[in-house]
Amino acid sequence: MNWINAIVQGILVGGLYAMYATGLSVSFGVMRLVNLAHGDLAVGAAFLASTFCLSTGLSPFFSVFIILPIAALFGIGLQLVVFNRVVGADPAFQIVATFGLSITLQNVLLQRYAATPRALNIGDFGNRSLKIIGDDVVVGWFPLTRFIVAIVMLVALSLFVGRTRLGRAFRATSDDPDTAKLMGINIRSVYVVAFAIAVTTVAVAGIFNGMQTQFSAGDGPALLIYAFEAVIIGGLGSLWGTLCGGIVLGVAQTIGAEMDPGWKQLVGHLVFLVILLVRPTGIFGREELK
Amino acid sequence: MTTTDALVIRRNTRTSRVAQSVLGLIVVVMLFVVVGDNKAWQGKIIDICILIVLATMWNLLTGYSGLVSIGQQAFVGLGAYGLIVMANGFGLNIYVAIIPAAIVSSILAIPIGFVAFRLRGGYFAIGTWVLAEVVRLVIKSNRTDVIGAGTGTSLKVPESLKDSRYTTTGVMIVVITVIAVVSVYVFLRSRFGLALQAVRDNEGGARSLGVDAYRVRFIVYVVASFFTSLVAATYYIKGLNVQPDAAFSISSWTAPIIVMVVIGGIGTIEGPIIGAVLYYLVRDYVSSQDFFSDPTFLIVTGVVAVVFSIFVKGGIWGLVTAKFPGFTVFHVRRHVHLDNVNFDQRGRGK
Repeated sequence: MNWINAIVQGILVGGLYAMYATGLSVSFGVMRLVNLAHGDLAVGAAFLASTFCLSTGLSPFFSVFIILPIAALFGIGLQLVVFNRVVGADPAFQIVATFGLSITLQNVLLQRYAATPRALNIGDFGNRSLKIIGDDVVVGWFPLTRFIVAIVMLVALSLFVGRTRLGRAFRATSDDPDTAKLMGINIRSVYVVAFAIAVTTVAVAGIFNGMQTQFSAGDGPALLIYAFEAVIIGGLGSLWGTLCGGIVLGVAQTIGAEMDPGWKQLVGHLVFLVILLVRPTGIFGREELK
Repeated sequence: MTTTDALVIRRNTRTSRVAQSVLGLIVVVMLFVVVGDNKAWQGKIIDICILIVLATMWNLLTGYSGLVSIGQQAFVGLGAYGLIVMANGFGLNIYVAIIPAAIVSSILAIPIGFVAFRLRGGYFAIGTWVLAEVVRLVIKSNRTDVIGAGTGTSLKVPESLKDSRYTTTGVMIVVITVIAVVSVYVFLRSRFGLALQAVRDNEGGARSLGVDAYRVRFIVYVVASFFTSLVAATYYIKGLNVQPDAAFSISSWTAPIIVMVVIGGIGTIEGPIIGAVLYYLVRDYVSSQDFFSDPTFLIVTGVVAVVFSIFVKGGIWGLVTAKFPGFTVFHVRRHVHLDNVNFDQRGRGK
């Protein structure tokens, strides 16, 4: 058993989980809406990327340039057609609507792509690695790239929320939508932008996930759960907390898998539950759970 | 609460009494069918009854308590495995085993609820799901003979009970369904039910009037898990094979239940029953048609859930009561009658 290696790999996987969690965090932060179809959107993006690669023969890395605009447009459409109608409604109806959307997306994917798993082939790059400590700790170039992309994404997003005019509108809407409206902010368009960002980030996560592991139509719910756990562990309302939450979850899972291959998910869930019991606001959480 | 002789509070109306009698008759017919020897019909009634109870319990949580759980499959699975442990493990009679199975499951609901109640709204929903996953994974990693890890196990039915299994299970599940629906009805008409609905409508307001919101909701959560496990355990006497991924499946249990309740009408007693029966009939019809493959059915189901939760929030029963105001089968609301003047307490509408 090699614990240091397990921890290092866990940290790198944590970057991916943070990528998943960002969108969930943004849509909850701005709209107070928990989107249960979040994971299915990631899987959908991965399937689209796979179709793109098969038809053009290009590397999945290029697919990003096509998929991300599609994801953003899809997010805008979804927000206009479905989510804008449920924001602020009774949470029960929000949950049912997004759950219904999740069932629909999953089965559309299942019908379109059948039940066979797919993968995005990144060729030789997936096998190259960097030896950190002899043969004990080996870091793959791909997981490292993915981790860096996650960091870049979070930095960009926190600069956007913290430094730009639209970002200020985001924060205002999050704090008090009614007052934000009085101050001349069109909160409907803030919601549209927020959800477009959420779908785009989760699409990136879905594509990066597909480059390393196989994915199939029914994977969405598991990805949603990982994203959710990362958000809660890190603390609601904190982007860097989300990264930290992703890393804690990733490390818990790799250590669990190191103990017994069947324990990967279970240990991840248990660490999440322990943190929920000991510190319900999460590691970096400032606000009470509402 | 009568202050003067002229002021009377009535709850049942004439129409609701008539409707209740009709429903009573339907129950009697169902009992006649299950004591008969048509296995196909017995099976159908068992399948409808589990859906009615699961939908009623999910509605008690969501529609009346504001607790949106998407982890009720935890209690379906615990009921199923409770039956296995009690019957196969401890050698209890299969029909008796459902009681301790449901009791153990509702005791387990206490720690599960304790964790889940730390979250609110949408996060409570996903939290219940994670907890259901934890229960599934723990059972899946249990490699003892009784549990049988990932491959699961089968209920051992003694030779002497084999012939009467469908009949007995059918009678039991019809009785459980009646008890479950009537309990919810009586419960909601009680002082406690009033407190529950007050918490749902305005938690701050209810608290300021001295309602312990946490306690009220927690009790409902445990009661709902009891009935969910009880009916699931009974159902698996018919089903026999228990396998963790199927028994704890969100897509085969909780997802359709949510859709049923939303279609029927959330926050009413009638709605989940209508939704469950309708869902069963459509599903039964669709599964006999080739052109309607499984994913297509689920796509339609999902779209229907989205459409109803945006445009038809009251569900089918909401449409019925909008068309015929004042018509109810299970009359939960209170009406104040003052010299033939009728004030509907909730006439303001929600």
